[in-house]
Amino acid sequence: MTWWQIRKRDADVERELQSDLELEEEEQREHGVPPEEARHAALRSFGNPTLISEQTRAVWSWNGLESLLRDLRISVRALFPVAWVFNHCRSRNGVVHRCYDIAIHRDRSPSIMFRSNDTTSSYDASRILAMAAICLSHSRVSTSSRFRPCCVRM
Amino acid sequence: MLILRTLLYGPSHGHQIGKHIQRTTNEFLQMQHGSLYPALHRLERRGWVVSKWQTAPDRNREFKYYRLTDMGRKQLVVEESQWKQMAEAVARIMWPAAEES
Repeated sequence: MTWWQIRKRDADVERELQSDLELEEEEQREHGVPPEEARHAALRSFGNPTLISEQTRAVWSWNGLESLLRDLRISVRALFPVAWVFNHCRSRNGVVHRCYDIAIHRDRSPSIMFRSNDTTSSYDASRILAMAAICLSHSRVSTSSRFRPCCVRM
Repeated sequence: MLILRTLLYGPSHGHQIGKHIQRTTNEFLQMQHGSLYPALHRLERRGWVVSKWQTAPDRNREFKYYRLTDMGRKQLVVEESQWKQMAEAVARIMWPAAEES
């Protein structure tokens, strides 16, 4: 499904909810509710339109590339704080640097404690991950707020 | 199953379906819109219903009408059968004497 088809489908959901909400409002007025209260009464009866819209759109979005992109973005967002912490701690603290090597690389050789340039590649990888997280966290791919984890930004 | 059964009478829009279920069950089942619209779209995605924007005869506006497909009719038969089996099984446990007599 192309992006414009997704946009069209989302607009269709919004239009459907809006028309049914307006009908509910009309029925409230027909039942004798004053016009100024009819809208609130309709909303009370209808529920939260934004939430309903998200839940309805989620029915269609659990397939294909859209789902993959969302999963990828959420995964990177979740990893971003970890990458950020490692970026800062590794460059300032030799002990943390060493713990990282032991934990991640399973390297238990004592000599690595005194080598500062050994882990350049993994350092670069974490920088790339952080950059990717920033780019993806600013993308406008729609996702349900229910699945959106909190995001720590620099 | 309730939505499919409601659509057996003819095409309806979401608001009508919710009201019909509520009214028919004497307000016992309150169809929440947060459940109704995702359910309708799920049925549409599975091909059991199709939707079309049409002008309502009594209102001068368009609504999204859902119509049961042949696949939907078959699915309704399946779900009705499953529901009967479930209801009978529960009844045998809850009221064993009535079942034996």
